[in-house]
Amino acid sequence: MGQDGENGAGDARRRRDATLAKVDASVATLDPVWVERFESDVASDKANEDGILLKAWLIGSVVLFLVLMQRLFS
Amino acid sequence: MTQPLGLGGFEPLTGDEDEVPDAAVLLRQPPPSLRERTASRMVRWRLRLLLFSIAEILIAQLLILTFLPFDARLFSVRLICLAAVYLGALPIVASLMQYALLGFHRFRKPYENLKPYYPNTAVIVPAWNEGAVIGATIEHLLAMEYPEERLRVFVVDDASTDDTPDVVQAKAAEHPGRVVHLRRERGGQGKAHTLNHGITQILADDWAQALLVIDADVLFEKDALRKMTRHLSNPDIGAVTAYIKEGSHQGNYLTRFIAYEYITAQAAARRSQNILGALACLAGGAQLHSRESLEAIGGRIDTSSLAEDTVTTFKTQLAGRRVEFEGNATVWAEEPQDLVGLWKQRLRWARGNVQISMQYASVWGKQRGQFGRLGRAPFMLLWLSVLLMPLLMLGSSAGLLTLYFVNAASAWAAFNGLWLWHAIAYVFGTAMALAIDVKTARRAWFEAIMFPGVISLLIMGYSIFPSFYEVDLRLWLQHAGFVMTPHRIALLTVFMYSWLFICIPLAYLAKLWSQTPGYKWLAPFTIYLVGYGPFLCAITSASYFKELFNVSAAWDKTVKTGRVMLGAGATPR
Repeated sequence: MGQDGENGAGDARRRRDATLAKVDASVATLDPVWVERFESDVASDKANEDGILLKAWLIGSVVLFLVLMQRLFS
Repeated sequence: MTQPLGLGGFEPLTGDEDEVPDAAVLLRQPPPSLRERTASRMVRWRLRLLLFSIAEILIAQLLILTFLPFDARLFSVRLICLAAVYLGALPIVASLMQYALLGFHRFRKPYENLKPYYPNTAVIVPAWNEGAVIGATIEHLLAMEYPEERLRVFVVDDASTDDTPDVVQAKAAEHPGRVVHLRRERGGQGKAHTLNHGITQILADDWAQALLVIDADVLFEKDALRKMTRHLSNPDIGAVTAYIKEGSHQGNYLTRFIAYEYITAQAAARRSQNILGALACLAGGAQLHSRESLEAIGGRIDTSSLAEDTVTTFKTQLAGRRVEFEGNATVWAEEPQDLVGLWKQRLRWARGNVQISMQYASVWGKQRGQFGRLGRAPFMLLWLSVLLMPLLMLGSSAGLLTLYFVNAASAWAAFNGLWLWHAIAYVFGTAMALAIDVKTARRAWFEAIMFPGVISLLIMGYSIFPSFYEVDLRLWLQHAGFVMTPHRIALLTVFMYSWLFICIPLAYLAKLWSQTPGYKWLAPFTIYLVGYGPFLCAITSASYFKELFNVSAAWDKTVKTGRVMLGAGATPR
């Protein structure tokens, strides 16, 4: 049973390593322009996610404030 | 290396996602397999068992109450009613949780360890009589910013009877090696069968490292595919989906409601599901699978359910791989412009969800092992609050009404609390949704506000400003000659307490209006008054009955006209 588990984990690790090797091989043969586009995408998407984070916390705070006001004055 | 995929090496075929086969096609369909019939029968029996159990519990409660002393009986009724009312708050909790989690999505660092991975990608386009849209779809796919030699388009033509084969063959000749026409001479079995025809042939060759399953009418933004494939550089991720946006360039009130709904159901809900580590559904119009992941689930799409996308999503996750939503990869789709079309499309989805909930009943509540995060409480809450919403609303209304006759003060407190939380979830959710997709917000802000309907908004207002309604408004009405007598107040109270449930059949009226000549103008009016949300609940309610009584399910094709346009969401109202 334990050996089966170890074998399973070993298989998963091997599959993972194989996938990573395949990805690295694919990246290595890539035209640099695609790497630049990837980096540009990541930068803009991170900025977008940062924006969502700020909006979420801002809106959350405003709604919380409104709820407190409602409870105080109702 | 087997025969390279490219030209002519395949039996031509057909197919698309949602289509209604004609009688001749139905006659030549092979009968469902024993496995599919057994799965379908099991789902129906589980559903009946569930309803029987609920009825049994209710009867047991009534019997217990009968034998209790009067005071204890009243106390018990009150407790049961309060429980029913507050169970109705589960969707509110789910909604608040969903939007609160959004604030944490950035902390997942979804882009930190990714690599510029551009795998050889086979795009599978199922098509049945898509002559109006397929040419533009192929051109848009080929125009995506993606390494040319790593992208091939396979149109699986499901025995189309229009000019789809001609259009696709012309495109294949125009782009040799990049467009492949696969034709099924016997079609009409639905999207999953069509996809499987293409997947089998693509996987028979070792060129493809990833498979992108799309609908024939969707348009990908130029950067959408590469934003999806980068996630496959993480070996733990098996599939990726994108943000589908409503893209009709000449929309109407309904497409604007759908546009807003997709912000909440995709941009918001799926980001929060990313955080929970379990995704409910890969969008049918944009699902990218790694080859290994697809092979791990048998190399085919499940054909036993009406919601094959969701089954594939569940299978992928249960096989140990994660499914990721990429909210910055945008795909535009054409959605129904009338309530009948929307009803057909959503009823199929809702019935599929009921089937899946039963089919995967063993997953719910399991937190370890192969069930991963799919069975954990937060994901269950999100899933079940949508699936059970009509039942929860019915329970809530029934609880409030019973309480009103047993203990009016308790009923008022429960009503006020429930609707106050509704109002909080509405304000928070609407503001968040509009903020995360500003372009769609410019077009659909009014429908966002009107999503719950005018009547629900008025009731929310009452729970927030009760004194305004009870004093100022009452005086104003009195000046206008309408006196609020105790009898009228009682009637209004009963109406408000039961609104959570009666909004569902009233929303169904909108569909009836839209089918009745001379009354069609009433349909949008009803939707704005009663709410688009209750209309979706009416569809879910219908799905219960259809599944319970095993009403046959055909693949109702959503008619596509080619109205979809990149960036349609940027068009203001």
